[in-house]
Amino acid sequence: MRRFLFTLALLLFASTPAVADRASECRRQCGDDTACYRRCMGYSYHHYRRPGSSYWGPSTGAGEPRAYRRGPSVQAPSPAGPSEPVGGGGPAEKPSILGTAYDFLYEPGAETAGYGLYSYVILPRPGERAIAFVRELVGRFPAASNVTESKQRINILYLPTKTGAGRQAAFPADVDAAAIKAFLDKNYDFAMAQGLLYHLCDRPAPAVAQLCANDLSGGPYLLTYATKVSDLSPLPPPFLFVDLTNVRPRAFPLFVAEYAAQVKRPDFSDGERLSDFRLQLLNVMLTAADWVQPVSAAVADIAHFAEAKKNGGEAPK
Amino acid sequence: MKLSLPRVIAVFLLAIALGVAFTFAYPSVDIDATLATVIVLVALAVESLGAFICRRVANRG
Repeated sequence: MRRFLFTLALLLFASTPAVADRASECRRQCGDDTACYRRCMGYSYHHYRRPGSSYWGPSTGAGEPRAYRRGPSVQAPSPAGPSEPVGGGGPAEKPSILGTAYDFLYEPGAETAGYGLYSYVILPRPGERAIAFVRELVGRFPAASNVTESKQRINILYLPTKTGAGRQAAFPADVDAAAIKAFLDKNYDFAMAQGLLYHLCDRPAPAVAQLCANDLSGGPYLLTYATKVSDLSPLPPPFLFVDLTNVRPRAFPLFVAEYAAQVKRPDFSDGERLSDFRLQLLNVMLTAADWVQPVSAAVADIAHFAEAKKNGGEAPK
Repeated sequence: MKLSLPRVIAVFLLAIALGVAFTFAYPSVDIDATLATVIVLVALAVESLGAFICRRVANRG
């Protein structure tokens, strides 16, 4: 048994450089495109689960991001128009979403009509997490003004913005954290964001009832709906509500990537991509890493090393 | 817990394997010092569990 284990370990060790070379080559070719990376590496990730089931069962918090979906007993109304506030609309009638773009929302109900899906970035308060999240969003997605594709094929991601600040210019893709911090401090409309949460929690769907009973001060949150919702209250299902309260900022890029993939699904509200085991595992690992950090810092505070002064290369006597 | 040289080597190799697996699974996440510590701790736990199971199996045999 011991020999077998050692042989296995040696084989792993021997194959590491070749695999690492291939990994770095694939990463260079694909960048952040995970699907491309997997294809390049020659493996893919499959979901083994029954339709409607989840790895984790009902969402209960504790290190787990939560994606709420429509209640099974709710009938989705037939979509009368892309921007009419009549409910979520059925997933089958709409053309598939090709991508996501962001824009600024200056007042409730001022959304541009005609988009395939309407999403809202809800930040209860400014802070490092909010900065990291918005930076990830505006770095990953293009501004709506730069998108030439049909609006019906786009999920528009709105950032509530104060009207008194004038028209906010689109961020460059490599925007720095200071610019995002300035935007959040001066221009982001936290009151409107809170209003969106109130819409959600006005006679809440069973899936979000537990969340609405809390203080709603976590976040960041993403709310996706088939029509504009900023002037719609209450908010009937189906919708996709992503609660990233328990997600580490370092994991935001992966969660945002999975969110972008989720809204492309025929049923955008099913939350399948966001309840992925891989994401949960990463979040657990990063949480553990954050726990380790104070320990190493404390050890560094305890153990101080002082080097002896070198006097012309002679050892101290 | 007595850590003999073979067990230290096994933990070392296991940690490398876990690190490689992590890099494959999450190409966009960099492994920093704290994450590496967690990986080594996981490797240590896995090795200890493996050794425990081996010992139990050997005792039964």
